[in-house]
Amino acid sequence: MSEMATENTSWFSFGQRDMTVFIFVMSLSGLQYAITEVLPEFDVGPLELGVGDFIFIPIVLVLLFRTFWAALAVPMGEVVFEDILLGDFNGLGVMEDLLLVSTCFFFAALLFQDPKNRRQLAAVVLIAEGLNEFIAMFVDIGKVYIGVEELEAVPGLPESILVLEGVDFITQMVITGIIFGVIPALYLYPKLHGKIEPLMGMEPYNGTRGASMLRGFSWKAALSVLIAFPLAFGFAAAEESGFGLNIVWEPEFLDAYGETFIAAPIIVAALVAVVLWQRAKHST
Amino acid sequence: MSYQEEFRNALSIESLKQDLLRTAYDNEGTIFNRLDPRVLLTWYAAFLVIPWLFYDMRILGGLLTFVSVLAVVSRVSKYLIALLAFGVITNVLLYAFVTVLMGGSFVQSAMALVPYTTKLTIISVTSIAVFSGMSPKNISRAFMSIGIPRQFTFAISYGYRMLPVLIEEYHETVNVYRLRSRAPESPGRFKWRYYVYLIRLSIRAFYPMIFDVAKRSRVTVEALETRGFSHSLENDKSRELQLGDLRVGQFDVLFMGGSLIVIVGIILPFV
Repeated sequence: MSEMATENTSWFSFGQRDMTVFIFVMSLSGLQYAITEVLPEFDVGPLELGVGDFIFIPIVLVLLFRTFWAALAVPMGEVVFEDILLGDFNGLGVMEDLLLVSTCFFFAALLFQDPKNRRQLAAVVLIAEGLNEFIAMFVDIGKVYIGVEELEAVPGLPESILVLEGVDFITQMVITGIIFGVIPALYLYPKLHGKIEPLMGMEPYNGTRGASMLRGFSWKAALSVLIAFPLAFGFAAAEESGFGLNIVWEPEFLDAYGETFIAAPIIVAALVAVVLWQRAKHST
Repeated sequence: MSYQEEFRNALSIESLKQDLLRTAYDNEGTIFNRLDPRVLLTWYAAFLVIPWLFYDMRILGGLLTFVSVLAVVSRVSKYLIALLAFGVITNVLLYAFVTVLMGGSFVQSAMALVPYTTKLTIISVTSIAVFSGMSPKNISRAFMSIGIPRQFTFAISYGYRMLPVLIEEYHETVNVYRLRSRAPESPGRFKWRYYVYLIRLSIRAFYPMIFDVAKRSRVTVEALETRGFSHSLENDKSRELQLGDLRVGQFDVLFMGGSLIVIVGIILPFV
C-alpha cells in the first residue's frame, strides 16, 4: 500500500507504516512541546524570550520521512500533548497550527533534495520555520486588527503592533530557527539518516547528489501553503473575534438600534446551543 | 554553583512536573468530568461566543469572575494560571509602552486594548477549566460524538497514556548524561556557560529518546492491528459501542440551567 511514501501520488494514502510514523513523530514532537512548556521562558506580551521550542526534533523527523502524515503529526503532537493534556487548548485556534505547520513543513521537506549537502539542510530548516513564523505573524496582526475596536483611532497603536510582531519574528528566527533549529539539526540529521528509517520499515531517502533545491519545488505543496494561509486566518479570526460578531456588535451599531437589541445574540447563542445539543443527542 | 542551590533547582523542576501531571491526570470528581461531554462541549461553544457580544467592562468582569470561580473549582494548575496572567498583563503593558515610543498615548492605547484582552482571557480561562477538568477519555468521546475522525481521538488517549512515561524517561536520560559529563569549571558571567551546558545536554538527550520512541511506536501499531484497529475505524458498530453509555442526566440540566441564570444575572443589571 505505502511503498515509498515519498512519491507525490501517495500523499494522502494512509497505510500502517504511515500510522507508525505518525505516532512516532507525534510522540516526539509532543514530548518536545511539553518539555519546552515546562522550561523557563518569558512571554513578555507577544515576545517570547528564552528557550523556545526544540524545533529541530520535528523538522529533522519530517525531513527523514518526507510524508504529509509526518508533517501533520507535528502540530498534532502540540495539540494533544501541550494543548489538551496540559489544558492550554484554545478551541478553533488550533486549526491555525494544524494547517500552517503541516503545510509549511511538508513544503520545506520536499525542497530537500540532497541529504549530504549541509548547506541545503540548513536552508530547508530555516525555510520551514521562517515560512511558518512569517505567515503566523500576518495572522497575528490581522487578529488584533479584527479584535480591537477603534484601533485606528488610537495614534501609535497600529504601528506598535506592527513593530512588536516584527521584533517577535526576528527573535523567533534567531532563537528557535537558528539556536534550536539549524544548529542541532546539522548535528542530528546525519546521525539519524539511514538508521531510523529501517526501524520504521522504510527506505532511507538518498536523493540526488548535487541536486538543487529547485528540483524539489512542488506547485501542489506551494499551493497548499497558499490555501492554508487564508483558512488559518479564518479560523484564528473566528476564534479571536467571536465569528465576526465583534465587528457587527460595535457600540455605534448599538446606538443606532437600541440596547434592547442585545437580547438577540443571546437568543441566537442559546438556539445554536440547543441545535448542537440535539445533534449531539441524535448522533449517538 | 552550590549543592544547596542545585538541590533547590531540582526540587522546583520536580514540583513543576508534578503540578503539570496533576493538571493532566487529576480530574476525577471535578464538575466538568461529571457532565456529559457533549453537553459540556455545547456549553464551551456558547462561551466562545458570549464574551464577544459585550463591550461593557462590568459585564466582562462579571463573566471573567464566573469562569475563574469555575476554574478554581475544577482545580486548575496554579502554574498555568500564573503564566496566563503574566502573559495578559505584559501584553497590554508592552503594546501601550511601544505605542508611547511611536508617539501615542499610554492610557488611551491601554484602554483600547483592555476589553479585547479581557475577552480573550475569559475564553482562555474557560478553555483551561474545561479541558483540564475533563478526563482525556471524556474529551476524546466528546470529539468523537461530533464526528471528528477516530485517528484524532485515538491520538488523545494515546498521548494521555504516554506523556508521563515519556517525560519520566527524558528526565532520566538527561540525568544520566549529567552524571557522565562534567559541568563547566567556571560558570562564567550570569552562569552562561552553565546554561549552555544544560541546553546542549537536553538536546543530546533526545538522541537515545528517538530510538526508544521509534521502537515503542512500532509495538503500539502492531498491538493495535492485532486488535483490529484499522478495521474498527470504518465500522459504525465500534463507534456506537464507545459512545453508548453517554447519557444526559439531571446534573447536566442543572448545570446548564444554573449557568444560564448566573449569566443573565451578570448581564441584566447593566443592560
